[in-house]
Amino acid sequence: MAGVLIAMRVAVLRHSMRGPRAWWSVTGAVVGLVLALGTIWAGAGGIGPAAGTGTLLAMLWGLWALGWAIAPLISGGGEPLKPENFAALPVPPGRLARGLLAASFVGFGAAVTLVALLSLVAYAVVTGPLTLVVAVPGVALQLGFVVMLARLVNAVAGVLLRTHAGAALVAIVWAGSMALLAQGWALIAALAIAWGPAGPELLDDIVGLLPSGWPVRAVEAAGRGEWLLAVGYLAGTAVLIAAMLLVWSRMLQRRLTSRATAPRPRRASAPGLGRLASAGPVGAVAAKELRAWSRDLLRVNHLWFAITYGVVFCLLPLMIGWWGMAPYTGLAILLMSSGMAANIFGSDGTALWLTLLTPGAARADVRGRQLAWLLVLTPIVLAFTVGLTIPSGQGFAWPIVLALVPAMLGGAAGLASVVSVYMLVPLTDPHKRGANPLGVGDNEGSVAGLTYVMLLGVPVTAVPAGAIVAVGLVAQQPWLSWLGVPVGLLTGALCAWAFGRMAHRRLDAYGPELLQTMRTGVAVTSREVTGTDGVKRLRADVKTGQDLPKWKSVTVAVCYSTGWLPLFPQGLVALGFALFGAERKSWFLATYLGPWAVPFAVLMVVLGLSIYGVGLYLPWDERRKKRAAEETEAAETPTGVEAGV
Amino acid sequence: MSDGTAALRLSGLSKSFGEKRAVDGVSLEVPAGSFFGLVGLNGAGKTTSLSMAVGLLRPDAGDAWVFGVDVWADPVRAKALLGVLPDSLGLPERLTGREVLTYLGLLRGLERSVVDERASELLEVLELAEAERTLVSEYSTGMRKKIGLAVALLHAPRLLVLDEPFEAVDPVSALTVRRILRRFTEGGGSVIMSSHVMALVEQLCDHVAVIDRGRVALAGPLEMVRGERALEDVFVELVGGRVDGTEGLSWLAS
Repeated sequence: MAGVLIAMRVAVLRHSMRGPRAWWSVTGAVVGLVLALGTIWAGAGGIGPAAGTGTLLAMLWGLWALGWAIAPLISGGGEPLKPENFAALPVPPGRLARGLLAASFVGFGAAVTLVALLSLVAYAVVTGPLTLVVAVPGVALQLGFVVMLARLVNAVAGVLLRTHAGAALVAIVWAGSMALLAQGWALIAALAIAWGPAGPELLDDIVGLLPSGWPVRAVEAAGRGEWLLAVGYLAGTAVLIAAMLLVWSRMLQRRLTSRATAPRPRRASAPGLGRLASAGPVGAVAAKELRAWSRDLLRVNHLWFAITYGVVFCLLPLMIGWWGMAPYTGLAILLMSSGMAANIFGSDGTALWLTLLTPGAARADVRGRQLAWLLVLTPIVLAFTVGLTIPSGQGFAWPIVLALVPAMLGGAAGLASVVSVYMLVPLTDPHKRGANPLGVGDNEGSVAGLTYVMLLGVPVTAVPAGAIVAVGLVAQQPWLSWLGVPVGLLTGALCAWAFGRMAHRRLDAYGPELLQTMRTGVAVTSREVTGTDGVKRLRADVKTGQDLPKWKSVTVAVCYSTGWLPLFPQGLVALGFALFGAERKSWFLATYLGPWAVPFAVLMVVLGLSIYGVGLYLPWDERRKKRAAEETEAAETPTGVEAGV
Repeated sequence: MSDGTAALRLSGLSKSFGEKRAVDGVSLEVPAGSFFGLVGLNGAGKTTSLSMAVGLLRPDAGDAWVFGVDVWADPVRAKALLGVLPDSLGLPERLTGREVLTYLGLLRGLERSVVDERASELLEVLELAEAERTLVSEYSTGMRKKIGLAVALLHAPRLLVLDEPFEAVDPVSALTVRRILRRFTEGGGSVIMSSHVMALVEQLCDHVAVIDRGRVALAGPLEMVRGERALEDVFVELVGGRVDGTEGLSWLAS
């Protein structure tokens, strides 16, 4: 059973290693590998005083475990093998669960984590070679623990996401954890104040109490010669894994033998929605979208995620009495939720055919979605902005937030529509998703990429308003800062209008390509051809990415995902260090090379650029060759031959 | 060859997916007022051809006209004339059947009162009225087909393009759908539908085309295509006669 499932998982993984997906996977693996090597370095005592190595390592292991616990959020459930597909097999649920768990170990995530967990081996070598006897099984058990944890969290979230309250709860827990990771310094500072000199010891106790720290504790106990305690820690981990597996297989059985039913929608009699719907095509789309905002639990989940993240991120510093970020809570919520609105067409799947077949619906579809998003977000953002700026006592923040809120609301509404259309990421159609509401396909890496595009892009749309406010504040000219508010309103409206126009024009012209992308999961392109009748038409184009020969597409993926290493850290950053005479030697290779530092860093920059160059050249060359071939073929065979009927 | 008043005219439509040539120069003419059946094996290229014909899939080569309007050069005018039921494409899952009809009608610019009236009638006739408060995501496959058909009919199109309209539909509903389609053609509407059920095609259609491996193997009025024989026999003979099922599988009976 397990063997076959593992083989299936490998096959799925192999098939998904093409096109942009491969790019994302390999990039993720490379980034993860860098972090993993950092963890090993910490385990070997490379960071901080030797006495604290155990605490640090247990804490880092806790972070890796936390990463696995929130992984289902980022990897959309991470179920390449849907349990539903095996429901008809005559296999007891426990065995199926064990098989699926075994298959979960196949993948970049587990491989990278295994490398990170080898830090315990490094720690054991430092502690005393005999402790390796404990460290090696400790690594294996911990890997089992984190993989099991991801499965279990996924299952629990899947159950919770079937109800409104559950969807909100999952979002609050996940967003809270992620905001804590980002804003942890405030918590640490607050705890350092509260605990005083006992801090390090308390921290050590906490990270040691968590299961993620038990194998580290086992090695320490073995180092002290307390072998029984060491074995106890390992046995504890094993028992925990067994218990989690038992719970998970029960949940799996329930999932496979029951059918999730959506709660019945409330009677469709909201008078406001009715009036909105009757106000022309745009209103109809907006009303439809507003219904989706209240019924689609994934959207409910996303909205709560944005709110929680914004609140925790901006209000955590209140723990140390700092109100400086509070006025910007509304903006943080806006930014986070804009990231989740950036694949609005992709998440609706092939239902796009309805828009394509309705004359003139593209404009209404884009504008209606923009309107609905603004109607949902504006009151929330305004409430948090006004409600928190008043008690913060930061009077100077008023022009900032009042200029940025309209600028970014409009900017986000515009940019989201453009990104949704131009960078569409195909997901599994809603009616084909399994019992796991998060199971939207294996493209979540790309969806996360869209989120980053929005997180970087939306602030850019607010630059004019922000710049005026900033100049006004620096020059201490209140009238100038307040001028930012009308500017923000203006740029916001302009962005929403102009970007939206780009989006619906694109949707009009390239709707079929988007639909095909969603059907097949791969992007398609087209080009304009003038027919013999003189009419210009778009024609399906020779395909690029997915049609590259295997070795070329792998090369391209590797180039894209590794080029940044020599270019940025080993090249540009190291060059900066070398030029401005930073003395500290760290993992920037150039800092070890003395007089050769600058030439080496320059060489690295060149290497990085060449790697990207190869990554760009291969698909371009392939495309050029195919187009040439197609044109020759087209010249030889007359088109439009009709077989009379 | 044709005067442009055909309900649907396809000329040299081709489409490749990677190395596979799914549709290879399909040309067809669906006369106005006809009920046209498109038959073929699984994977013969029926869905791909129909998708290209209605503007949902961009062809590599070839053109499609709906009542003389070029689908790919003037999609807005063409789509106003079309009612389409695609095969297994998504629907707005978080809406009830009535809401789907309402919003799509409003999107097409129909009056609210007209939309409400038509939606009620369609739901009633297609026996979906009871499921009025059920979200589309909860619909069975047959119900999805029926609500798809209602969407296709809502704006009173002149040409219906239906991909496997009877698949998974129960026999009673199938009878209803057949009556609706008959009335539609009697009223001057044209229909092209794909199906693998030969008996159904024989009963309903007056024109038929056999698609095999991406090409039109045979097309014309039903009587001409089948002659004195059953359509099924003609079809099997055309596509290569791969009917056996008696050899092999000896382990199945043991």
